[in-house]
Amino acid sequence: MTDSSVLSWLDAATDDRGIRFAMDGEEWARWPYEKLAERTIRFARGLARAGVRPGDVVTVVARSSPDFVAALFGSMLAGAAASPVAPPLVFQDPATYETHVQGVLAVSQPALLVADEDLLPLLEPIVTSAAVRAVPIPAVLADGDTGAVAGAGDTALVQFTSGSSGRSRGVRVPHTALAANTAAIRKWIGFTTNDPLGSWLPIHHDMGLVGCLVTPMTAGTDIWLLQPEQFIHTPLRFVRIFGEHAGAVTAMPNFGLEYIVRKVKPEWLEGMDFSAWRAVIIGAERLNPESFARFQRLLTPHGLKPNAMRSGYGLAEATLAATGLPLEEVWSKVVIDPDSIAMGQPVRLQPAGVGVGMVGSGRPLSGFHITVVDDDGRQLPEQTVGEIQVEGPSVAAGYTTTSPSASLTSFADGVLRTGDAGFVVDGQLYVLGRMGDSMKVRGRAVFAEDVEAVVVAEGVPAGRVAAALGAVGEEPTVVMVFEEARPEQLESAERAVRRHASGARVVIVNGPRGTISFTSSGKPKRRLLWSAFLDGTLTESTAATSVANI
Amino acid sequence: MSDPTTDGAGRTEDEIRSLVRALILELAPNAEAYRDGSTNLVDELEYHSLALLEMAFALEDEFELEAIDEETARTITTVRHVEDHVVNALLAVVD
Repeated sequence: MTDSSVLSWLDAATDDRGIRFAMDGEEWARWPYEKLAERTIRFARGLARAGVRPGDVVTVVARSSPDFVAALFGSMLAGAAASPVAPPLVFQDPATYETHVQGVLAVSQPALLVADEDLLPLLEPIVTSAAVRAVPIPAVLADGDTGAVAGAGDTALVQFTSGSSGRSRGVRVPHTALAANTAAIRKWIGFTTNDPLGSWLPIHHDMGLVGCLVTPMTAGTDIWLLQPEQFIHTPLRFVRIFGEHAGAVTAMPNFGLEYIVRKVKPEWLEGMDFSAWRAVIIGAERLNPESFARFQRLLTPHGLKPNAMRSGYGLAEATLAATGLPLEEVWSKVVIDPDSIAMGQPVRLQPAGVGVGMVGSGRPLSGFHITVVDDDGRQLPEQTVGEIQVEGPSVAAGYTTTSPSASLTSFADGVLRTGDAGFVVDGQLYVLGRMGDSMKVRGRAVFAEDVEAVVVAEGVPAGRVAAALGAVGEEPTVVMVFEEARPEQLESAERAVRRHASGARVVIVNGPRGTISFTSSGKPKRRLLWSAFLDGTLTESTAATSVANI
Repeated sequence: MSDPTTDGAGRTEDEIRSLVRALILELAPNAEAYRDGSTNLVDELEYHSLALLEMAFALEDEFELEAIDEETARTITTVRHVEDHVVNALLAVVD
């Protein structure tokens, strides 16, 4: 029945291990794997009864809960691909959320959408316009008393990149890839059945979904799950999983380290013991050595071990993880001269320490091959900036649509061109981030094409504007390049960009005609603009008026 | 009998407003963009969703407010809206 290794936990499910879901207040609801397995099988039967067939896609909009787990794995057990979508955050603009879900439904073409009962009124207008059938998860469960299940199909997940706005890209993750990635992470961390994992990440994509739910479930260990809002409200509750309940593993972006250091007072940690916490996996955003050091200063007096910090690099297109810092290694940093960052050029390391500090993202996980390549795909030597290329058993099958991607990421014969820039020092990967076409702000992907679209909507002629996106140091940055734009156009465009890329620094460059070069197919050469901005030639040589907002 | 122009802690409306403003700016990702009460939280102060949540929780703690409901949250877009929300909540409960 369970013919895929990510579903094997269903057969091994016992009542002595399981998932604790954070409730309101201090309460945790404990769900043994045995009960979660029953619910999963029930959901799979109910899905078949609702007409879902092997090969279909099922969209799951639910909060972190037993229902989410049942819907996720139950969809797979029914032979369908699960496509999790996060519910709106409390302060999320409803129009933005609606656009996001519409985009997701358009590219994943689900046979059915299942959701928490209370979310359905909100989703109703969206599913109606998309002509997608929607049912509450409890109704599917209620229909699952009896019946057969199809077993795993080819595709396990249609995974959307972290909270992306505008253009949505669904990544098709085959069961083989999901099984391979969870196995690679288990091997990296040396996961046993006694390595409780705690997480506050949204469980709807890569790091939270694959890293903090599917992987520990396949390892058969206990899991403690908070929702992002609960972590923001009471970060101490998350810290307690490790200081009071012997939590051993977590994963989060650099932001999480910063937030804990800012909000958790040292005196609150009295009596806690963090010696069991052996993997604080940090990835997804630029890794800041200062954040690592501050986090260690807070927790080392209470037993956190020096080698607990584990950096990693991954992306939804590789299912999740591609590199990680081996267990026996302590994290390390290099200090680079930011002026030396240019594609194909050697990066200057600054032994004296004046420059931008970067934490290494570790080494290829078992079975993975990481290379840094030039524009023609030729491997570059160590300490040379190029595009990160990933080969390995969990490279996904591609996007759900073949329309031109909003990203430079591409798949070819199991080789993933990530669109991320980086370099290698002593065999360890250092990730610089996107090469002009997108960036992440607080875990949300922002794409250059979407930024350009909002500017064009403000009346700036297309073809006279380009956006180059990336990180300067740790700061997500939008460089808006205009050709001979009028002051009032710049003003309204800047406002629109700030709204769209909220949280990022916005730099406006207004140059003469010819500042932006285009490819033969009419796309702006954003990577070129980004490189020019980084090495200072864009602002200095071509800017007529430059409004830099820092 | 309490004074209807102060809250339970004896703070005047002006004092409440200035406390709220200080808290908003302390947590704002881009506090330098503040002009006046009409400054937009998202567009100008660059509040993102997690930072907005943090601000809401901080206000609840600081002023012992009820959790803000989603409907109200959506109408709050500027610094003055936040001030008004807190002032109304605090001065309304005094009778």
